[in-house]
This record gives sequence, C-alpha cells and structure tokens, in this order.
Amino acid sequence: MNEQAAILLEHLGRDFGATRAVDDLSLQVAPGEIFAFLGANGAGKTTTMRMLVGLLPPTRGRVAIGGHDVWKEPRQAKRAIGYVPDTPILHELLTAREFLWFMADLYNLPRAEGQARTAELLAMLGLQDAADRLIRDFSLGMKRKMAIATALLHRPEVLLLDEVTNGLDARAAREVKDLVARWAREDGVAVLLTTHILHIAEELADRIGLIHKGRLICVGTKEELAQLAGRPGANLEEIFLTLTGDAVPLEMEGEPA
Amino acid sequence: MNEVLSTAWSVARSGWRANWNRSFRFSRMKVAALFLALQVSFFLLVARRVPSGASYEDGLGGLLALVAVQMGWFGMMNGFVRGQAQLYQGILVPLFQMTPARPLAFILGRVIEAVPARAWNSLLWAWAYAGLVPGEGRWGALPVLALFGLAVSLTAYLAGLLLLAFWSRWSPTTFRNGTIFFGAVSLALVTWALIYLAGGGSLADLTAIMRTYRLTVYGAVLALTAVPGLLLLGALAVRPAAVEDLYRAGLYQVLELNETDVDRRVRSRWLPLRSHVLRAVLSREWLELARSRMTRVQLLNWAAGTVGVVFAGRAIAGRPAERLVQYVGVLALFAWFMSYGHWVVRVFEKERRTMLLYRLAGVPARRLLLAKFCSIFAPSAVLVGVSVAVGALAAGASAGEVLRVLAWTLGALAAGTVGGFGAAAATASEGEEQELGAAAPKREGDTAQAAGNNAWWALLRTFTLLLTAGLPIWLGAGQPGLPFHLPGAPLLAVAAALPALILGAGYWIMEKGWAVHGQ
Repeated sequence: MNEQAAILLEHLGRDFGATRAVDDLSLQVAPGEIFAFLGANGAGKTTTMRMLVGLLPPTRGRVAIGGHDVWKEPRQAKRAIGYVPDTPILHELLTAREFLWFMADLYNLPRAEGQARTAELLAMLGLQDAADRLIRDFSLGMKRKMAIATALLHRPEVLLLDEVTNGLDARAAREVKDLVARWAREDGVAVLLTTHILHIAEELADRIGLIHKGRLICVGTKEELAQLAGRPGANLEEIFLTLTGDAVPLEMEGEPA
Repeated sequence: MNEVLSTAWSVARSGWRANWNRSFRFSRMKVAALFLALQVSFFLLVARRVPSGASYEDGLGGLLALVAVQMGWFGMMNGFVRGQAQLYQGILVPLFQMTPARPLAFILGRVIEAVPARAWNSLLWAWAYAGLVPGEGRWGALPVLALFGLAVSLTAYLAGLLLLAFWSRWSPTTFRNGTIFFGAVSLALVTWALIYLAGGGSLADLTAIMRTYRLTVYGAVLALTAVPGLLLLGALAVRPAAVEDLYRAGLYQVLELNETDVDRRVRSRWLPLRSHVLRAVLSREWLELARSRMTRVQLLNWAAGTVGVVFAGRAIAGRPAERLVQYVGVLALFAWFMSYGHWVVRVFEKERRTMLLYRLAGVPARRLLLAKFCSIFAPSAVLVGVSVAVGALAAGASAGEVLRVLAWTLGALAAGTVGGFGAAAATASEGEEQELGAAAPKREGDTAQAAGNNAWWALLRTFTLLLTAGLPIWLGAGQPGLPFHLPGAPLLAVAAALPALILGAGYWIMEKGWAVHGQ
C-alpha cells in the first residue's frame, strides 16, 4: 500500500450491533484519479463515506487521507477533505452567503479569502441571486449546490461525493460532472464518488469498485470488470447485475478483494 | 488559541444570526417582537403585583438567596438541555466532525452564544423582584440582582455542561433521560410554587424564609453549580485537551448508541373496529404514541405533576368540594397540559405532509376530526382521571366528591379539546399549503414567513385550548378571584357552547380549504 495515496483504506470494517455493514474493505485512490463506488441500496457505500470523512468511527481498520490517519490526525486529514453528503448538511436558518462565511471560519480561512471564495463559488454554481436568501427556502437542487460549494470552499485535495447529482436537473448535473472531471484532471484532486446512476460512473470514473453486502467484491476499469463478469462489451448495468447477482468476492490482479 | 477563539466567536454568531433570521429578519410577522412583548408584559404584571418589603436589607438579602436558587437551577437545566441539543444532536455536530475545527471552539462558542439570553433573563427577573425592595432602593437593587443572577446563571450553565460531558461519557444509555430529570423536577417546582401562591403564600414570605436559611442556600448553590461551573471554566483555560477528549469520547458513545439503538418493543397491532377511518386513525395514532420515546419522557413529567396534585390534595383535606376542583382539578389539567397539551395544539401541524394522505383517500373532514378527537381524548381522559382520583383520595374526599371533581375536570378537558380542535382545524391548511409546494422553487422568505405564521397559529391554538378548558373548571371551582358571584347557568351554557362554536367554525374553514385545494 502506498502511504502517500490520496485516499487509503486498510481492512476497514464497521458493525452496527450484530449487523456487519462494511467488511474488510481495502482500497487506494491516487491524486487526480476518479474512483466510483457502486452498490445497491444498503450495500455500505454511505457508511464507508462516513468513516472516511470522520463522521463514523470504524470498528476495524484504518482510513488515511493524504497520508494522515482520519482518526489519529483528524485536523490534518480533514483540511484535505471536501465532502458532499447524500443528504446536504446545512445550517438552514442562515442565508447561503452567511453559511459559506461560517464554514470558511470553521476551515480557518482568512476573512478576506473566505468572502472572496464564497462569492466565487456562489457565482460558479449559479447561486449568486440566492446568496441572501435563507437556505431553508431553497429547492433540493439548490441545497445540493450549496453542499458542493461547502465542499470546495477550502480547495480540498480529496473530494468525497455521495450521490452528488441527486436532485439536480439535467443541465446542473452536466455542469457538476464537467466540474468533477476538471478538478481531477487539471487540479489533481482525488475523487471518490458513490452513485447508483451507472452511466455517471461509466462516464467519469477511471476505476470502479463494486460493493455488495458490505464487501468490496471487485475493482477495475469498466473493461476489466466486463471481463471478470465474463461479458466483454457489456454495459455497466449488465456487468453490475451479473457481478452482484450472487456475489462472492472476486480477485482482481493487484487489487484487494 | 486565537484560532479557537475566532472559531468560537463564529459559532456563537451563527447561532445569534440564525435566531435573528428566523424570528425577525425573514419573519413578516416578527415573531421575536411578539415574544419579547409577551415576556415584558408578563414581567410587568409580576413586578406590579410584588408587594414592597419591610426594609432594604431584608428585601435584598432574601431576594439574592431566591435568585441564587432560581438562576442556579434554571441555568443548570438550560446548560444541560440546550447543551444536549446543540453539542450532541444539532446540525453543527456533523459540520464540526467534518471540518478541522477543534471541539474546544465548538463548546466555547455555544457558551458564548448563551450569554445574551441568560443576561436578558436575569434582567427581567431582577426587574420583577426589585419591587420587593422598598422606596428608591429598588433602583439600586435592580443591577445588583441582575448581575448576581447572571453570574449564578452562567456558572450554573457551565455546571450543566460539565454534568452533560460526564454523563455522556459514563452512561450514554441513560444520558438521554437527563432532560426528563430536569423537566420533572422543574414541573414539580412550578406546581409547588402555584400551590404556595394559591394557598396565600407571598414573595415577601418566601424571601423571608430564604433570608433565614441563606447560608444553607448559598452553600448548596455553591456546591452544586458554582464549584463545578468554575471547575469547567478552569479546565477549559488550563487543560482544554482534557475537556475535548472527554467531550469527544462521550459524543462518539452517544452517536454510536443512536446508530444501533432500535426500539422494536411495540409490535404491529390494528384495532378491530368497524369504521375504516376510525380504525386507521386510532391504530396509527396509538401505535405512534406507543413507539415514541417522547411519550415515555413526558409520562414522567406527567407523573411529577401528579405528585404535585397529591400534595395539593393533602393540603386542602377537609375543605369544601369547590376547593377540590380549584386545586386538584386545575393542577391535574395543568400536569396534562404541560406534558401532553401539544397533542391538541399540534394535532394537524404534526402531520405535515401526511395530511395529504387523508385528502387523497377522500376522507371526509368531519370523520377525520372525530377520529382524531377520539385518539387524543381517550388517553388524555385516562391521564387526567388518574391525577384527579389520586389527588382527591389524598384529600380524603368522599365518593360523591370524587365523582364531582372528576366530572368538572373531565368536562373541562373535553371542552378544551373540542375548542383546541376547532382552532387546529381552522389552521390545518396553513402548514399544508407549505407542504404542497415543498418541491417547487420558493420565493424569498416563503418558508421563514410560514414558520412565523405557524408560531402565531400555535399561540392561537394554545390560547383557545386554555380558554375553553379554563372557563368550565373556573365555574366548577366556584368562580374564584371574583369579588361577586355571576349566575352559573348562563355561564355554563357559554362554557359548553363556546368550544362547540369554535369547532363548528374550524370544521367549516377546514372543509372549505379542502374543497379549494381539491378543485
């Protein structure tokens, strides 16, 4: 395992009482790489994300971001993370502008930089006209954009995107996908995204991991996964259904099962 | 440290700004102004009724001890209850977990945020109580009482936070029940104060007692609130990492428990009733009540209130039956109102989007009203009946007297529920319109405006419930507080007709609203 991988998961596991939600999950994502995490509802994607970001302590294993253990060196690790949760976490009684200023303070950005970055992100995401409205009055798509702005505020090295296009209209979803690709390719940001919309993973991801009943059953490019499923040339939906049918962990060369 | 202080200041400012946004800036009805006006009116009333004491020293000495007890208890409760909501459950908890900000900044920020409210509270009570100090001395007493109250209140607030941190760390399972403890004791204190005042006790007598026992009072307040509060303050200044570790360990234990704690004790049961609507509504409502942790929490508050009813009963043993209604009946209704009054006040508001299900299924408004009324009145009558029965037995009342006080109290409960239902039905469409448009883009301030309106409607519903329940119980108690006696029969007719009229009007408005939306 490379300690300097942007994202590093080692034998990660999480139990809820007797239920094993995530089991022995190992993975690494390099700077500039887009990694898509696919799985059915309840497969363990969001639980993994929450452990990665410091919201949920793992039962076993470790998580490191930029070489810093999220649970032992939380401040260094969290400075590098931008997280867009599946349900936006926003202080809804603040206006959009106030909330971003507040988050800039939590990330300890200098006042002038926080305000400039706020204006820049509001403009980039098309929220400048709503800047002085209460977030509680926003539509779901606008709240999602606010969560994206929050994640980008401090220019993170790692982006964790949980169902990032949910609630966005076609144009906004396209814009977000383009932005994600640009951040990875041009800025070297490592992106780990979960989605149940398979064509997003197909379109954006350098590598794809399938998680099923808490276990990472395979990792690879789309072509590698198709080969593994014994269906060369199949689309990702067919590959996904084949591999998660009665899945047992499948070994990929050079990748953890 | 600068980083911590600036982040703490930012946390406090976000809390103030959120309050300002919600209750004034984006509230067309300026709920904050209404709330402040109500507060000032209440304290003005108290200040005008406080009799002047014998001397400056007597008045101030007793008042300081009283303020120490009051601010000590409520400050500690506030620290615990608000701290639990803000440091272990609120929206800022995940935001803090996700960012590199230190927990110390989070804790300090919440303490700073509490200062203005504590100061305002101390000032109001000081204003109300200062009247006890005779002559011009009251103006000198006011800042002394206010500053002393604030100091006690803040150290007690910190003591509440310290209790919270240790409790969450050592027993996260029982940690959530801390609010029950504070709620139950506070309800018992308020009940005791009501009994004391209704029994002819006065603030002057109370402060005289406090002055006599002031050393004991100060010792208790010092040991229970000031020492732990200052201990936390010292630890935050000298060993902040230890406080952070304690908080973090407790927080993760509580969050862990929230993830795994699934209550499966209540199995699915559906009532065997013939009427479909009644069956569906009663089954659903009662399952929801049985599964709600809040119901169990409030049951303890009701039990604390009922203990107060028992004391009231013992205090009036051997008095006329009207006294039984005035004390036992009124306090039994009070205990119910403080614990479960929201069942009536929020009967439709709590449904929010699910109200649409009744409309989509074509349920007539009158049948829904009837089913909802049954679902709330039946358990409420049992609770009030039990309180009245034990209170009356404690008073040594005869069977006839018990039945009489039961009849008046349950009659008042029925009238209050009917009246409250009328007001709730009249305002049922308010929240619903907001929900109907939930998915659509909204105009500036729409939701905040609706929230402001909701506060007014909630106030209206509460007032209607209190008025329609209060009138019959006042009649049953022999019209206390009036220097003359009004004819009972016409007033009784008014007490019976008023809730029915309000319900009729509410039903009409509700059905009209449904018809309009249904077009």
